[in-house]
Amino acid sequence: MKKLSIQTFYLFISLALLTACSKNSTEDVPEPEPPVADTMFNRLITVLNFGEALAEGSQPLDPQLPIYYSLEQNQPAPATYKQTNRWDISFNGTYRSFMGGNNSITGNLGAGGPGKGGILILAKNFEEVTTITADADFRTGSGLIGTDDSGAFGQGLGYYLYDFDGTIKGDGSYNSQHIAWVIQSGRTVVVRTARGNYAKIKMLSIYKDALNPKDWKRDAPHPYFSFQYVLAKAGSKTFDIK
Amino acid sequence: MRILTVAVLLGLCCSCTKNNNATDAPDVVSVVIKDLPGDTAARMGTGGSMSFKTVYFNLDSGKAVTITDADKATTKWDLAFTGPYNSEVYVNYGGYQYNPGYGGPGKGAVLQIEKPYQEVTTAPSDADFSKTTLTKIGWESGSNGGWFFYSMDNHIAVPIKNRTFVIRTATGKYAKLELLNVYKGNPPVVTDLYWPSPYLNFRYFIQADGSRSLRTQ
Repeated sequence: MKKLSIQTFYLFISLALLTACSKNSTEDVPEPEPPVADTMFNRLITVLNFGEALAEGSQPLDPQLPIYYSLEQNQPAPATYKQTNRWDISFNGTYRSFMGGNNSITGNLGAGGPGKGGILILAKNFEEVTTITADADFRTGSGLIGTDDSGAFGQGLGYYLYDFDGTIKGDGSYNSQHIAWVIQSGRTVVVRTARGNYAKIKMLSIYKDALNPKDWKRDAPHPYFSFQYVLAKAGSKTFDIK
Repeated sequence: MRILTVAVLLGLCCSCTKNNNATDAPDVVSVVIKDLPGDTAARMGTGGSMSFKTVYFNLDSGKAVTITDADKATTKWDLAFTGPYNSEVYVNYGGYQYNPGYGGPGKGAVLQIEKPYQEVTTAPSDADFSKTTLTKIGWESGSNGGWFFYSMDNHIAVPIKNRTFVIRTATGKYAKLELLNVYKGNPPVVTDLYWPSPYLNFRYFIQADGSRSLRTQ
């Protein structure tokens, strides 16, 4: 290997410094958006235990800091990416259990960003949801889909039944109270992603490492979201797994 | 930037004043219900969230009605005050499993309007009603719709101001509804967890001629 001239050496050093500098000073500005890989579409993707512990001393109804997930990249997105297309669903509100899409409108967590997403929930099994819902039917706020009317504090159709007393799904014992029962059949969440693609989501659990309802206990770590989804490209009429 | 800030502040200030005036203004045609007792014997701590007996209300007669299980799926009632502290209000609709009127002829639907009561003067179209995602009027979890916030700091339900609910009733008439409080005497602020409740305070107007006009001033 040739020896570097002193000038070249300094050039490298200054470039390195410059790079470090710009990185530091623009920490909150996300990098350019990565393209969505074709391989992400039309296949069943499973996400396990997406979430993080609630703040120490949180009360049940305290609003929580939102968390974000990119369905198109199949990875969590940091809050600094709020005003970008790099997330498609948010979880916020009580126990971070209310879902929303990524939309630029006021009131959405992505307000002021480029997002054109939305969300809705259907009273149908995941496998039976094949036709993609009309764009006009998607709801564009945040924190919209959570508790179901079949349980306590229901907010319309939701993806989980909150058993306040432990008497709807349990025996009323201490350990059966205040359980969030994800409704695994008869509910499907449909999302228009930030960039206008579509996803259908089957929620599985909000308890960590616990996909079996038998393990949904009051003291099981929560909220950690497990779910399955399928992406369809913008312009598609149906959800297909190929 | 500074000009913008001032403009925004002015805007907030004006809209506030305007809203307050309109909300507080009484009229001669609305029905005001004061301290209608809910299930005052039930308690979350002892009986649980499902222990509150539902209170049914007929908007035409302006009175609470006793509804047996056999009468649930009829149009004898318009509003059902259900759930914890009778604070979750269903409008009689036969097409939704968790509505007390399930399986009956009730045509009810409800839409939330972010306007003070007196500024709501026309009921939306049936197409709008059919698009509603609000299945009942209760706890506002964030942005879903509802008539009160629930504070976990002091366990008190705080009514949301300047929010009005437009209703299609069990028989297809139009009405507007403002839910005021579940605390006795409708105090402006409640800080005492043991303040007597649930006592239902609300006002409404039902258009008897079947039209969509909901002007009350």
